[in-house]
Amino acid sequence: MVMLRFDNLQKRFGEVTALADCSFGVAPGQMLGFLGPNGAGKTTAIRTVFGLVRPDRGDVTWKGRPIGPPERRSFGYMPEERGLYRKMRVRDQLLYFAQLHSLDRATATKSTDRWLERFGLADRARSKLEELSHGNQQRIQLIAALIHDPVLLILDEPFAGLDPLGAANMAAVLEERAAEGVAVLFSSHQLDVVEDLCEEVVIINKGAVVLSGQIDRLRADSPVRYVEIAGDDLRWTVDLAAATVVEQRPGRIRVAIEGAVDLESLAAIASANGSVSQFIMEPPPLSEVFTEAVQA
Amino acid sequence: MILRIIGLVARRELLVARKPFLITTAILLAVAAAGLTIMTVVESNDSGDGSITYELGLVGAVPAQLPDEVASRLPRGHDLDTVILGSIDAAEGALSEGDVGAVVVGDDTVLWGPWVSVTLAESLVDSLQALKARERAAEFGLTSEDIGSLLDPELEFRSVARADEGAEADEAASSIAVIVMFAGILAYGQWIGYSVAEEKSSRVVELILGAVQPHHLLTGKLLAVGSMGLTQMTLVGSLVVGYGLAADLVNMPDLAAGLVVWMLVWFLLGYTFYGAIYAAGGSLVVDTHEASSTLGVLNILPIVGYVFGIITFSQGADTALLRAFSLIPLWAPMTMPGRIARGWATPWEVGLSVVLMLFAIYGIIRFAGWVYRGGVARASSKLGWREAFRAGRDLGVGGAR
Repeated sequence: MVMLRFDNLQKRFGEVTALADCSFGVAPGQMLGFLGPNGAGKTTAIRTVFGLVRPDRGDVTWKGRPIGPPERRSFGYMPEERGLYRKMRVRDQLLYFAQLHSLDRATATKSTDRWLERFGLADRARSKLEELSHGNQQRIQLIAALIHDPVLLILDEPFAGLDPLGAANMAAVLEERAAEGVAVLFSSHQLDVVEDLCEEVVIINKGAVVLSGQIDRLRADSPVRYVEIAGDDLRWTVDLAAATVVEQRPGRIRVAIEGAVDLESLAAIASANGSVSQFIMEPPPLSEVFTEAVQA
Repeated sequence: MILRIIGLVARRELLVARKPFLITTAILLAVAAAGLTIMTVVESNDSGDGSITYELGLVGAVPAQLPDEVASRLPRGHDLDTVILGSIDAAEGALSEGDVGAVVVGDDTVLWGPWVSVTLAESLVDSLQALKARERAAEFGLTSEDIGSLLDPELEFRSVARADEGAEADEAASSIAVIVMFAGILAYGQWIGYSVAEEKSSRVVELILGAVQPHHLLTGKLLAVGSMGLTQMTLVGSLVVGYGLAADLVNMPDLAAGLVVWMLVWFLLGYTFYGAIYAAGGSLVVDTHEASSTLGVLNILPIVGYVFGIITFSQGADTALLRAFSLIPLWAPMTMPGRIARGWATPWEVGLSVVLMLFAIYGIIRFAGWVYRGGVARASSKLGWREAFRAGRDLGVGGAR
């Protein structure tokens, strides 16, 4: 069941169309990747959820109803433009955000301590934010979005600026939240991370959804297949119809084949031309699906 | 829930501002105490006990009653000490050195130094003339009663106008009211403006607006900074009035309790009005560097009221323009308390100005609220007033539908 729904959102800023026809939804426990090139309208769409942008047409609803302040207080948000109070102590500001999101002081205190412990920042609780490293400030920003155990988590470019360890930690937390039934929507340009984390994505371009659905299905729907073969003699591959060599190294070749591929005949040709130690056929990666979608 | 959120916002502002608030309060109290001490020292003529003491030199056969006669003619709080000097030369030396204010030689000569107190001179001349008159009257065979009725006839004096001293005190009070109102409104209004600008430039406001309505955020800020301002003004005002009364300063304006209360009321009204304007101004900028120029332009509004008030009150006339200024909400906080101090404002004028101010506050908070809403929601761009107002109206109450 979809809880958060964007329904035919349209928004213009003067001559610029930020959202043309944006419709999609997020269900509880779902981790949805929200993709698009720069200026596609991702941030504008996200900001409509929090009342920071009012659409010219269309609706954003939660459980089928318009979103108001009480609903927003149950959501977690990590804006693209990071920002916290630089001169305020870490613990004080997390307590503040928790209480703004309707937690009483005792619960807010417990939650603050729990999350600081979880991210290994308990010893920095009394530090001012500006005294923390960039990575730790990012962690505090994420805690601020999680502190009140939100039912919906919206993160705009959460992996931007994170080192591999930080990104892995962030990914683990998001997976954990989704597993507990939280609806998670996040935008990202790091498509490999999205592919690892999400089952489904929505791709928008020029304010309109151009592709959406399960990543596996979107990849499978592509007419292109990549075939990677390792063997002694690979000269036969140049005779393959509709094949384009993508990568070639001694004893290994990777080709792209557009159109229908008869896997059995291909395998038969390969074995007839000598020993084959590896034969892989796969659909294109998400990055290629994305590029095709936004360039179409 | 709304009150809880406003309270949380206000509490955070107070928490963050605790240190600067304590420091500025300490500085203000120290400055006020220093000013009062200087006033006390000046008024007491360095005597250290709150009184003025004159040194009078005596040479030769000075009438024995003269010192008591002079002392009886001095104002309250002024004392007289006498110094016996051996010769005219010694007297001139003492006068040159400033050891004595005047010297009486025998019963008919007075020597002045380069500077002489008018009070001492008048008392001394009157006393010598009175002694001489008594002496001559006695020679004519007049009784002491006759002499008394000649020198001190029974006359009745009644004042039908305000005493000069009271008018002077009222003038001081009205000027103080203008300065205090202007300084308070400017300081705390700008505090709000910079706080909003800092919140917007750090981008934290976008996170907060996910949970808090812009007008609740604005209200919390206004409450917190306003309460700090009121506390500081009350503390400094209590120190000035309390110290002034305890030290019995001669020039201490006769501050009625009513005027102090009116000043606090007008501070609250003026601060709320201007605080909303400064908050809206702060919401237009992208970073705190821009804030000084945007807020600097806004300063012109209270400065007009301040300059007009100071000039007009020093001229001592309740002009039609002053009456108009004291009713216009932009400048009423700077001018109406002064008119109250002078006793010029009629009750209906005070009532009308308060009512107009309340209407203006309602209107400006609505206007500034829209600007603030539109301004803070566009964190990445600098906006004009009209653009921010339209953006705020576009967002509407409750944000996106």
